Amino acid sequence: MARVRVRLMGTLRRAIGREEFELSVEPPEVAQVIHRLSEMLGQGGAQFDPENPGAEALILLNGVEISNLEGLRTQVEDGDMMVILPVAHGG
Amino acid sequence: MIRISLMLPSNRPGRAPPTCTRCGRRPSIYYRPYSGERLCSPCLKESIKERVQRTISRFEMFEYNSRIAVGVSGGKDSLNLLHILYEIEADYPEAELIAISIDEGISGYRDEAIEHARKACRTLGVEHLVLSFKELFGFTLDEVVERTGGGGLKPCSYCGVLRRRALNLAALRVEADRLATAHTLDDMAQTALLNLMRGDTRLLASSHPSGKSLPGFVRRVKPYCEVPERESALLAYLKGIEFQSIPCPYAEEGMRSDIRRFLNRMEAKRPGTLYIIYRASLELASSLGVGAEQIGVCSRCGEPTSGSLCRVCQLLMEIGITDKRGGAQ
Repeated sequence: MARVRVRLMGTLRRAIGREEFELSVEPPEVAQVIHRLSEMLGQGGAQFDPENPGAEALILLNGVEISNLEGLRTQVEDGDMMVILPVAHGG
Repeated sequence: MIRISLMLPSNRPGRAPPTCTRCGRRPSIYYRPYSGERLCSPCLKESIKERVQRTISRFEMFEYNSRIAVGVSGGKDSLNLLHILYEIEADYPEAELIAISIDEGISGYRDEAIEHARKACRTLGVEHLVLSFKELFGFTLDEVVERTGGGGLKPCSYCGVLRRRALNLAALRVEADRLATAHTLDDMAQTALLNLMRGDTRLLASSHPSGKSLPGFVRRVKPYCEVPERESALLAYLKGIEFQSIPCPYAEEGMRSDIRRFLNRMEAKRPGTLYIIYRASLELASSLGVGAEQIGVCSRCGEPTSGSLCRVCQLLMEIGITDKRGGAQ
């Protein structure tokens, strides 16, 4: 179990109605945080492709984009900060 | 005794990012799947700026003294382009930058973006002109959508044609000789595929990033056309540019959205797909050999067009708007 801070940018912020919050996830990995966010978004989750969430959004863990780490399998730890940037909207 | 190593292989970074492959000094923050580079924040910013510079040179987009109107919607891509052109043009004291924004009249959506554009222009000290569909054509996009009543063409089809006209009118008004728009690599690939799927080879040829000098049109150039939207989003975040929180209410209705989702998946699965489609579309455009268009004037509004009635007037008449707005006034 890890407790991480999540900061949403752009349209995601509005879709979920919160800018920054904490989430406890088990197993402690990025995929689980994204899974929880997808649940929060529900049907309005156009920002995430369930099969490939990284295709529609940039996911930063402590300032590093996750494809530069272990992707969705990257481990998260207590106090980590995840920033999610939707890519497609608002060009 | 067998010892099991818990160390990750060296090419798997775990939680510790590898060193930037460009400067070899700082930790990287971004992996470019299509090139294999791992970049730190300063190197990513510099590499995007260099790419824009190379695009400008390759397509001979500007003169040393160009008066450049930059279309600034207030979204991340156009704000990035404005900042990059501002930095590049600092080396060309005789060149001028003017930002132009078009307010389509999409309730809630565009107001926020135009405020972002205003703020950026104030910070940089760049002149800024905002023109609206309402003042140019006499109605907002919301009113157009209301008139169509959900039938006929999608809102994006009207918006695209009207915004194109509006940007040209704004560029003429500020007496610019170039109109720079922030189309990304994603936009270019989407447009290529869209035109191909519609069988529109004329449009495929006319979306070339270098634009053309035609009578009545300010030459449109796309200096941002080789920057992927993902990198644009990251650049905006790194530069502290504000993101739009309100999505366009009409965005999901167009065919482009389906193509965008498809291409995003393909790019994630097969990195480089966007660039290959973009390059192929350039080659296709040149091999199609579309000759110089004969430009006349629209019989209704007097704006330049290759037919007798321009596309703007065709659309307006289809939805029952019969007064002669939409031309240079």
